Amino acid sequence: MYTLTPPKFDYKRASSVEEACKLLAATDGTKVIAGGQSLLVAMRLRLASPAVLVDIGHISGLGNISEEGMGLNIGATCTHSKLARSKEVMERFPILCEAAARVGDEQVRNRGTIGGSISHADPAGNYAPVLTALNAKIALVSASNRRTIAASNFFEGPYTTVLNGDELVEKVILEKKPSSGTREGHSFMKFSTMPQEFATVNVASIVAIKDGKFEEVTVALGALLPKPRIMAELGESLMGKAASAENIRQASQELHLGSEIISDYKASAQYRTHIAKVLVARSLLTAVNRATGAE
Amino acid sequence: MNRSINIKINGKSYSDVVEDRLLLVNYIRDVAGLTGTHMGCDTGHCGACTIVMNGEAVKSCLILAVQAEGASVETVEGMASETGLHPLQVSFRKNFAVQCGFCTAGILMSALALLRNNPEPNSEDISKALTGNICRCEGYPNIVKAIEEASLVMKAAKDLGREPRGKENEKEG
Ligand SMILES: Cc1cc2nc3c(=O)[nH]c(=O)nc-3n(C[C@H](O)[C@H](O)[C@H](O)COP(=O)(O)OP(=O)(O)OC[C@H]3O[C@@H](n4cnc5c(N)ncnc54)[C@H](O)[C@@H]3O)c2cc1C
Ligand code: FES
Ligand code: FES
Repeated sequence: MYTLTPPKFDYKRASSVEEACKLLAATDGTKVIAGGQSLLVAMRLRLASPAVLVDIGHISGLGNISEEGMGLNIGATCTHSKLARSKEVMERFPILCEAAARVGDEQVRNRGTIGGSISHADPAGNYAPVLTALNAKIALVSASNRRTIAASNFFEGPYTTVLNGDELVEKVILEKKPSSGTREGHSFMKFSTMPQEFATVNVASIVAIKDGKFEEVTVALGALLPKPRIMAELGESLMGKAASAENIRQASQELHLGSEIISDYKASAQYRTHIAKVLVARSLLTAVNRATGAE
Repeated sequence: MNRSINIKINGKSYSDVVEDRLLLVNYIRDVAGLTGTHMGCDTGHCGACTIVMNGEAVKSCLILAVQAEGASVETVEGMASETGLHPLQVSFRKNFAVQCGFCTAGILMSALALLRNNPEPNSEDISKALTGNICRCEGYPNIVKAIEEASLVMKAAKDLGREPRGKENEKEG
């Protein structure tokens, strides 16, 4: 039977982060494999031909979710399924569970990891807008260095991040601000041609409401731009206004997306712009309803 | 490079020396000789190659055989026992949930994993669990119905303290 076989490589299974870092530094052309859900496809299509693959999927503890103060640390090899089902994450950052549950299909979610997803940096990936909106930090490690970088600076463009060849994503760090008497609501929405497909447009909305008015509005759009973008103007225009469906609709209609909108076989730039306006309005309304307990 | 691996498939241990780049689906089909698991799209989109690995439904075309070293794998060949077909298999036959059958092994594996985690799924749970399994000829309503019915048969058998399979069960179909 004809099958697409990946190009030849040497497989190494790391048993610790230190060992993985050493292996990454040792040979040029070494790449990490976590869940393999993106990399194995890329290799079979000859879009990637690493000489050495370092498997980090068996490093014990690297996929853990742990509490840190009011925040959470999510280990790089935490699978989408584990994230989607996590009670701790659901309590503090429900938008992340929502995004994890909308990655691909059950089988992909059972293998694919958050670290792999953000390192792969498909512009239509689910986590980029969510982590940007949450102001998450990403901890990177190499044999010689450690650094922490804001999600908004981590993504550089399609399939491009700040990761150096010898660096590894170790964890995603989420900090929680103490609540100031406001009520928070989150919403992630993905519009795609089929439920399991990558997004045509996706959006992460986080709102805080006090006395029926917007105290905070963060909307990050993904999939239609080369990298996730916080819609700052939209946020400013809603701040202090009544959290009403009419105000949300109006602000969404005025969304300015600039000239970088992706146009491809899935959707033209014009269609994506239309979907973005509809999706932003829907997700903001959902976030508001969740904040006010209407949902 | 070549590497020696140990994988348990349907309870039986397999030890082989394989090339690093061998995909698990090809290991299962060509090395272990279990051709019930199918290869459809070859790029992770169709779900025909779905197996259960360490209790979870996964696509065997998106896993290297060497990544599965030490794992416990279940394929469609492991479903029936000496006492008869698995209730899911019985129900698929009874409900005409199979047409050409190409997707069936993968769908059965997704259904098996679903029923273990959620023994009483509703039709929406079932559709969600099958998002990654594409059937291009039968259509989904009978498949969903078959899984729903199998879950009831399995629950009834469990309530009676019996193993939910057997000739008797097969005859009902
Ligand atoms: C059918 C299908 C549908 C999908 N749909 C969606 C979707 O709707 N939304 C979505 O977001 N994603 C989707 N995905 C992709 C999915 O999110 C993958 O799980 C993810 O992109 C890759 O994660 P992985 O662990 O499998 O990484 P791998 O495939 O193992 O690796 C991907 C890349 O990241 C690098 N890498 C992995 N881990 C690390 C690390 N810790 N540090 C540094 N580099 C690392 C690898 O070297 C490689 O370059 C889909 C995939 C498939 C097959
Ligand atoms: S052959 Fe594996 S998903 Fe299609
Ligand atoms: S029965 Fe033919 S593809 Fe499903």
